[in-house]
Amino acid sequence: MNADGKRSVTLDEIPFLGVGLGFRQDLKGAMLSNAHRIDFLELVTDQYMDKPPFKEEEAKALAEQFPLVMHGVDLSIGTDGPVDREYVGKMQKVAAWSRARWVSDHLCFTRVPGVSIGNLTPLAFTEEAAAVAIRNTREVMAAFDVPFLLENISYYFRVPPSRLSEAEFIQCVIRESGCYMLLDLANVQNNAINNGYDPFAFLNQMPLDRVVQIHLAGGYYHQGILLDTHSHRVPTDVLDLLAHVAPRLPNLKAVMIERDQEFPPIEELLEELDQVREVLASRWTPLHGRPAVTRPSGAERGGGVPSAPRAPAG
Amino acid sequence: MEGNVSEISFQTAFAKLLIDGEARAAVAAGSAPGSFEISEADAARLRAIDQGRMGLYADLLVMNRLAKAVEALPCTTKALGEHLWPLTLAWNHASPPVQARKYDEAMAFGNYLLETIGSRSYEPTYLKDVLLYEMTRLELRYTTVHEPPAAQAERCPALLEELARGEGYTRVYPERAPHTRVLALDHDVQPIMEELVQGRVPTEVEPRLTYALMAVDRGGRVQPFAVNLPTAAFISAATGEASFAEVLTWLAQVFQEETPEQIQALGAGLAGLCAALVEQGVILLSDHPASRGVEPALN
Repeated sequence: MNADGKRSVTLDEIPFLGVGLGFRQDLKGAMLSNAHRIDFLELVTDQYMDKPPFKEEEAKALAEQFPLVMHGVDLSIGTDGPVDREYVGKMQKVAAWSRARWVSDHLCFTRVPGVSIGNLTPLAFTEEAAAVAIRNTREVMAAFDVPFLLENISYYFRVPPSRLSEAEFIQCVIRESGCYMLLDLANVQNNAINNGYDPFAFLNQMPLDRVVQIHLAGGYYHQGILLDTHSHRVPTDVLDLLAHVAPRLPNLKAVMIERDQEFPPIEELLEELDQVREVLASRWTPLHGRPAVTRPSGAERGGGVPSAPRAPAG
Repeated sequence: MEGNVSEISFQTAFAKLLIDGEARAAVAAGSAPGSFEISEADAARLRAIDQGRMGLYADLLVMNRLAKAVEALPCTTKALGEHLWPLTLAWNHASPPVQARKYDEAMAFGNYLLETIGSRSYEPTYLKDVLLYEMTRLELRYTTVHEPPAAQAERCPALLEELARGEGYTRVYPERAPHTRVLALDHDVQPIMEELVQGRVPTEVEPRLTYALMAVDRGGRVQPFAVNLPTAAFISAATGEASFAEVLTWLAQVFQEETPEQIQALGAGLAGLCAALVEQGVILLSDHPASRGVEPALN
């Protein structure tokens, strides 16, 4: 039980979703007409907050066709202050409309009273900053009866005095708060290049048993810095990280590609999904023996009623 | 450097530095930022950050702000052409981000542009009209309260029947629905915006006075309509504080309809228009003034 008397969801109860995409308005029609090739969708929570009624209807309609997860960008879990309960309340509403299997946000801060940075900004890797994030994460987790995940961000500089390594900081927050992890492998690759470390060694230090979802994306170089723009194909380097880490993730339920700019034809994205499935086919137990295209239509699944939570095959 | 300062004081200083280039330069140089107070411990932490990388990140934040404005005001930002980036930098300096929501950022940018365009002559000449159109559409989309006044709507059919019979002019009060706007524009923006959406910036556009009605449907979508002057005038006069008879009198003066026959014909025409606008949810009718104690008045 959590603080609100809600029963915490165990790892075994978190449903397996497969390989999916981030839902984007520009790709809506193409995604709907290729629903059978996309195992699940991730919706950006903030795009459904304070919006006209048709956005609520859109979320509900998508939930009839796809399993959905919600991903927020402005919870600001690392701000040293009270959790924004109004924002959490809006998250709860959107999660209910979308029948979200889980909700997630980022291990960072995006705002302080009076200033909205508008981007995922790094925290100092200290015990004090970790304590703030742990306290806030526990409070957010208590507001949901679905799992809450935190994602590692891309950052371009360390915030002094970072007495912990990034990996130690993430480990500490995920383990101590009891939340699950959304592991963004593009961010791992970006940070390794921009901040000079070995991404494979970094991954070995992650709380791998807590990883439920993986993000993949591609960016580009600007002034010698690899930017996290979600504007390009998932590069081979990132797929190599996926191949390396996937067999070590006993509770991985979902892998997805984020694309926010320079949208290609949907066929290219679907081919990328198939490429990801190929990488995972021999490395992710739930995909063993599954054909690349597996998801039945909404009607075949009984009108989109969420499937009962089940444990992965192994 | 580690001290006992709270993390929130550092995070606040950090956030303010990220959105203020002058403050960033001052702190890097060992001076006070000027625009806000900062402890020496926090300043030391901020100086220890890689300044080049922090500057790059600050530029990304400006681009993020601009991306929201471009998404919400696509035609305006397209029409701005080479002015867009300098204006964005000036806006970012004059109006630091307070809310991250796309609506807030786009409206802040739009309001900054209205002030700037008002003080200088910007090409293309239709820029202000396109901006007003997009800002109005955005405002309606994000601020409409979606609770139709059912009780008033239910009374409308009976009142419309009265108006159709030429009766009830003094006791029927037409009121523009809260989720509607009428814009008087110096250009016909629809064909201009169709070009801009395609990525083409029209260069030679003749001015043409037009009226645009925007209304929000029950799903929250903004529906635009081109309307003529009488329709625009009637909707604008329908404040809920003047009776149909008073609106008719005012419009008769505006359109110089003076004889009883002309006024009677205008009344019948307005009754028909009223029925169409009620059907579209643009006008509500009630049998009492909505002025909450204010005398019916038309100015």
